[in-house]
Amino acid sequence: MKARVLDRRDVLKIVDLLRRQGYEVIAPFHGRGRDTFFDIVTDENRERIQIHLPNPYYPPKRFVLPHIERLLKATSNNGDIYIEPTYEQPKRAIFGIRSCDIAGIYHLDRFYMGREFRDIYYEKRRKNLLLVNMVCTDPDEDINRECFCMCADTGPASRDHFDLQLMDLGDEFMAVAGTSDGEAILADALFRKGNEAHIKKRSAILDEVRGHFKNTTSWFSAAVRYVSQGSILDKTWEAVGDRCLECGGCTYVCPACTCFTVSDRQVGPGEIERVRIWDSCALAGFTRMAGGHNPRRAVHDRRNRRFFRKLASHFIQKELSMACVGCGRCAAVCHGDVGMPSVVEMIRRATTENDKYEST
Amino acid sequence: MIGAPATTNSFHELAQSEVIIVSSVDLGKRLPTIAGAVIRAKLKGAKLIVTGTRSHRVVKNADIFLQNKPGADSLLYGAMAKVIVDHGLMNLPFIKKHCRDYDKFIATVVNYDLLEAAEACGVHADLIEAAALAYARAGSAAILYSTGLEYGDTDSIKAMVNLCLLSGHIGKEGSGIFALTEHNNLQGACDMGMLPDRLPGYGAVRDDLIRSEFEKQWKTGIPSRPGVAAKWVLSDRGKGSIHAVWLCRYDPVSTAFFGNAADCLEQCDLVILQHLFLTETAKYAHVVLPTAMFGEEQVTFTSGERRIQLAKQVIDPPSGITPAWQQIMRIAQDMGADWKYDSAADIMDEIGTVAPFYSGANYENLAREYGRQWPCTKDRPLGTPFLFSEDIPGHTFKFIPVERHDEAVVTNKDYPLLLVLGHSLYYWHRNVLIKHSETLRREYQAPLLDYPEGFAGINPDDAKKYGIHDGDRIRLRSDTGSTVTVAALSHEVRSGALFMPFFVKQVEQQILGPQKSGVHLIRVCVEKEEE
Repeated sequence: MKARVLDRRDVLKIVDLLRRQGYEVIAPFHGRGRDTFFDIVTDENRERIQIHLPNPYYPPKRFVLPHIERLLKATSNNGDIYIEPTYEQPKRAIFGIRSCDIAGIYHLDRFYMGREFRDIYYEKRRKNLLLVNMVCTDPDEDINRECFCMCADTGPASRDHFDLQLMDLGDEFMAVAGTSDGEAILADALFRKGNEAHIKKRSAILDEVRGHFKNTTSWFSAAVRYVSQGSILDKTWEAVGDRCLECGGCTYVCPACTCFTVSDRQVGPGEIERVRIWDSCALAGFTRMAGGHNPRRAVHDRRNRRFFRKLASHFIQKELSMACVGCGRCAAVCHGDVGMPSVVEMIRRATTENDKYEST
Repeated sequence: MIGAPATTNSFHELAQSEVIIVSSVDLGKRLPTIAGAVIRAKLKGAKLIVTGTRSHRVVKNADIFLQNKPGADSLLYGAMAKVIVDHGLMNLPFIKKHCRDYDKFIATVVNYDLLEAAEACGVHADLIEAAALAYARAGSAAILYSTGLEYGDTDSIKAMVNLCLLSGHIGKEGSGIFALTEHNNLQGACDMGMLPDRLPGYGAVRDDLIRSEFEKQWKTGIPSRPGVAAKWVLSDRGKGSIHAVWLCRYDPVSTAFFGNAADCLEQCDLVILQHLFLTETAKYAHVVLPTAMFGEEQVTFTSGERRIQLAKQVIDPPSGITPAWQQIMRIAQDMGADWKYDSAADIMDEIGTVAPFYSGANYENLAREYGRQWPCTKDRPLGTPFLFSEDIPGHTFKFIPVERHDEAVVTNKDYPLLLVLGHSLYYWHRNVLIKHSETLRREYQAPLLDYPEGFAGINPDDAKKYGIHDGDRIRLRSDTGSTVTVAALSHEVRSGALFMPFFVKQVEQQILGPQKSGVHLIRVCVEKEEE
């Protein structure tokens, strides 16, 4: 991989460069209080782009898989029906995307493009998307209480799947290219060659940052093993279900959840559109069959489905990627505190108790 | 009574409460965010006590569940007060300093008896005692109840407030009464005087002094007679005296619990409706004014914790659609009034002049952080997280004695069960807005497809007694009517009670008869309906 350095004051010039090249650039901003969000960069808001800030709860997933997306339009005219697929393929760059979300988009890539069926809507959007990763180095701003990328092995610095990676070294930033598109950006006069000292500093900062994670979700890998073996006790899932309020928040903020539903709706006389909408396994209607049978009616059945889908080796092997990237958003938004870190903890406690019991 | 028409504390303070009592309301379904605050408090070590006839998600996390018979809430709280008094756990310094009518209250408390109340409530006496002792001994304790219409038992609310005063659990972080509002901005609507007998800021319409203040400010006369309640208007047009109705974002044809709104509106000479959508009610309107919605206008909402929140405009409304306040202003101007507001912020400034507890809540202040909690005054611009934190005027609070009623609704041989009408998760006031969201609509339709005739939750023990199986069609009879529905066996419902979510409107009318709608506790008998 090719690496370069640039001055701190020049970092946002990368945004300008991309905009000049015709990219619609998305970047993170501060809202009120703790709120942060991704938005399209304009001349007006460019100065307010944040390098270090809490990762927005609403994940950047929507730039490859919109929350609501039109798939096709059907019009009826004198008995003839015309069906017209609608694609979007904007030339777009996300500046400042975190390492966990890089892994999230990679997981979506594996799901939507890495298997026997390639999703053309996803593919068209993804093909034109450039990812500029920002390494989380500020323990106060970047690292939330809920973050556990170290356990999911996705951060704080991505190893791959980005086009360009930026890391704050203090007065300078290090830029690493992950693809030829990224390398092309490094050709700009903004960047200069680094030296051995830069690389040492980078390692020292990463070592330091790793010590700042508050929630290491130790046992994450053991939870993967237990889930894969199906050896988690029913009472553990029931305890998780007892705290789930079926709001679906965990799935709507998840950067790696892939589920959607499809619905047709009338948009004018003789005209319908087909849309796909993010869906959630927390909701009872998600698995309800047309005939009324619901294999996952009980809330704890729906909840354990979520954790099987994310952690079972069956899926990890099939996709060569895990559907949990350690961003901690589910833990931050869950009303009943049954996001991933808490559930791993519940699995650890119940299972160790059970192991103790079995061995006596 | 506390004298505050609102929740006294902030929701996040529940994390500081040592004991939390959730009275009757199914928080997980009605107010999931509050349910989350309660569950998280419990996980941090709070003792959680839940009362009510039906088990639900929050109950699964409770330390003590007092599953009382329907209608026995005030008896239950009265018995808890008796336990506290018997153990000498009253907070006498607090009572002496801040409360009135303690003697009158004690005179009624002695009439309560723990064992008899336990019998009448259908709850173990030890549990009632344990709950009362935990509440009284806690360093901080919160009581949560819903102000929703179906919980409209004023005796039980009085009894809860008495418990709170008896233990002095008010005026501290995490200690207070949470009178939960189930609708967005219901608190704000009440604050603004959207109550028949109140002016903005809760001054009584009948009060000459208060009225004259408003008249000075508004430079116009104000009728001294209070307005009338929606129930009165929509039941029989106030005995035929109402001829015109203006409905602001209200869809009574779909949502009103009482009367027959459609018939009433049909007989009116003029119906004006402001709403986001062409609702069922729009069919009866002579004029429909489509209004801007959340995100299309700058506007505030006041939440259940008195938090006045500013929602900014982020998109333009569709062409020709204006905010509701502009429509009202235009019509007032055409009628000759000189109402001039350039923006919603101007209206907020005027609110600050007539409702003193909003006087610091200008838009510039509200735009910071996540809004401000009233009282938000010029002296206290950051707002007030919990009420009565300092300088409580002497004897502010008043005990209201509640006479002992061993069963508010007594069953008998002919009608041995009590039917409770209530909500289910996606039946949000008959879903006027939910229908416009694809995902919520699916969730809403699923139970309707499963149970086109609605269902009645029944305890398996009762079901066995009446020879009823899950999914059987059953007939419920009351002394005013009868209806057919489907039995759904569930341990969530206590023995002796039936729970019916009212998503099929006819069911309610059939069982209550046309004149009696709005009652939510009905004596019934049940039998299997032969095919």
